[in-house]
Amino acid sequence: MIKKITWFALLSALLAILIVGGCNLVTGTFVVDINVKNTDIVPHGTFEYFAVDLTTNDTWKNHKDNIKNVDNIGFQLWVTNNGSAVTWEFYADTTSVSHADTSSIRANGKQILAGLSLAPGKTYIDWPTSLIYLNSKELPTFKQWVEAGKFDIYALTDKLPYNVTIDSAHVIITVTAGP
Amino acid sequence: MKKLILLLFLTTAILPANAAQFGVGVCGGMNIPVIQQDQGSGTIFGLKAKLNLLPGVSVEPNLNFAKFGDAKKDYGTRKGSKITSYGVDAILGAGLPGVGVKMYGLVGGGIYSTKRDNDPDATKMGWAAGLGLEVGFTSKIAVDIRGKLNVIGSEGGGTKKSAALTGGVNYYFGF
Repeated sequence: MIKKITWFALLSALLAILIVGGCNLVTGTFVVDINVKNTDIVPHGTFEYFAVDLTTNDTWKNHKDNIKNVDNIGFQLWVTNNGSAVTWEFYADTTSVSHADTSSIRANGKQILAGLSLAPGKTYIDWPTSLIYLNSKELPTFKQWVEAGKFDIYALTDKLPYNVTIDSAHVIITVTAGP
Repeated sequence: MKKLILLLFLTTAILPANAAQFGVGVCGGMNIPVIQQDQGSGTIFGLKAKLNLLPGVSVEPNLNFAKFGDAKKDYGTRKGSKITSYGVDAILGAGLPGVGVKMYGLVGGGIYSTKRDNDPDATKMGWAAGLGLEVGFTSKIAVDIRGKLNVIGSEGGGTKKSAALTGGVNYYFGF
């Protein structure tokens, strides 16, 4: 009898642990990737910007209401620098804001990439490389934009004139989501 | 949970002094990400001790070294995480060693330290559950095959999960 009670107690404890743990058992890590068309990249004199629209992405649609964390934001970029070597940086902001100059972007946007050196000529930046330059401190702010599904990305250089052209871009957002 | 782990560690530290009957084991196998699109399948290697606590119940302090494989996507390949973990599992249903086949369940907890290129290092609590099969060839040597789900806490209240499918050998002293 004691043996049966012991087993019952142990199995009950196991079940309790599984139930408590099971509250977030089905959370997962999902990757939302968006291709940015060349025609969607807008030159603006002293910077470039493009809109990121996640609302057509199936992964985003499936998890937009239960995003727990934005783990990171990466990029795949094909870039041409038509000037001298510069340091490149990305800022993000909501689509409801329109920035007229780099001062406004730096003052009001959230920096997501910083310190990326661009030599003259063509450069390819792959997904893992872009993460080296990620400013992860801003990721908590970014969560609300990812949940909203739309935001703008601004590309700036440390010195003017801005001679960089983004030939093609891919935005890769990794999120933890679940009930 | 921390107290529980501390208690189990203390238990395992005290038991050998009273009863010089214990086992040690080594295992290796596959580490498979569960609902983690940014990881690939990798490998795991582990060391453990095994001490009988009650009839049919033993505890296993363990140390594991796991790594995920590369995440290969259309837009690039990213190296997987490396995870070092230590903790204690309770083994239910396989007590003392012996010749024959024994099925068992396990549940436990531990500390998981995760490293990945360009991600901040993270150390989180986690828990594990699984099932296994121990085949004893003599009173001292057994082959141990198990599947174990590791659930690691992550930022924002979510979890990162992986399944470890391992095979190994246990050696028992004092039997």
